[in-house]
Amino acid sequence: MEQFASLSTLASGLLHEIKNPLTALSIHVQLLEERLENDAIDQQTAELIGVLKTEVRRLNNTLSSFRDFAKLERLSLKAIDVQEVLQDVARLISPQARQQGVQLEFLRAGQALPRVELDPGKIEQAVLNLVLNALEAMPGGGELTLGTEVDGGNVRIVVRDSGQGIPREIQDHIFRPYFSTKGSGTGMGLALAEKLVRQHHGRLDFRTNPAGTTFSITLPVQGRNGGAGGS
Amino acid sequence: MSNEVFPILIVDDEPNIRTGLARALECESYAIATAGDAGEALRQFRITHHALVLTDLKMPGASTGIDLSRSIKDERPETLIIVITAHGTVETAVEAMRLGAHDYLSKPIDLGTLRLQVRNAFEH
Repeated sequence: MEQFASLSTLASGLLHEIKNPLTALSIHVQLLEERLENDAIDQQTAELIGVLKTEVRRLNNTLSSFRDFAKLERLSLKAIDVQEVLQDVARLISPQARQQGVQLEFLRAGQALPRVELDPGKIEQAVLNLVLNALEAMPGGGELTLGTEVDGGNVRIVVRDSGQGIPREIQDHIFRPYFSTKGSGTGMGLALAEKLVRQHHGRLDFRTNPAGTTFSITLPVQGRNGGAGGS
Repeated sequence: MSNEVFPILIVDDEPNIRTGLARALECESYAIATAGDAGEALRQFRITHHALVLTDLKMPGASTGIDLSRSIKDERPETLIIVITAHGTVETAVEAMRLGAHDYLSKPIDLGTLRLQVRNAFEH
């Protein structure tokens, strides 16, 4: 725990040190763009400024996701029905799914789900990251299924896509921070989801084949006095 | 807005941020001054009585942007204050708002948003 606290302090100090020069850089890129706009610049110069802006934005996004990953926070627990979390996520991503030609299916558990002590915001973030990952696996459309199951003393949240599956050679690395096969993105989505689930003393697993991938979040109904865990 | 010139004080420990913000706000309606820490800001404020103070919340040294906001509000409650906060530290911004700050800006700063917030503050 102390090790995590010092890592978190170090990360927060480092973020502050990087954020300030980056803010200065971002302000001056905007000022430069405004000044050049007034002089009716040629297309090549506009493209160069565009690259600067994009890269500054990317650096900011990377820092933000790193901050989210490194942040050590106590959980704010509340007894909830995980189906409410899924409904919120489904509502959030349905416009993007529709636009992408992805059909969204919501499978309710056959029985009433026991309420689970969770931090709703953090579990929602974990599910959202899995869902965004699933959407990225289906650029040309497909089926996205969100569901819940009860398994003994656990509640399970399932996110299933009909993409092409995860290649065998990268399966061991997908939860590693900064691991990404995409040109865009920070490579922190699945790492953060796995960390958040672990913080709840749960487990994040996946099954994959060339017809799609299923991620499962398994959460103990009893919980374990949630805190800033996750070692 | 009339032809009045409003004195604005920008407080940030990063020289390139405060000069960048000063450049972004340069216009005939504003007289811009800058300070690198809360102590220097308070010294300048006691002489000029700026109409608006734009201050970073996190600064090295004994006094933070929160302390500065509190002192300014104690001395001249009518002063407009906009605080700058790192993205994700909205809680501190909320504390500043409770002390009477007019608004807050999150880093990375969008210059269009900055100008709009300053203009809105004066039109408030």
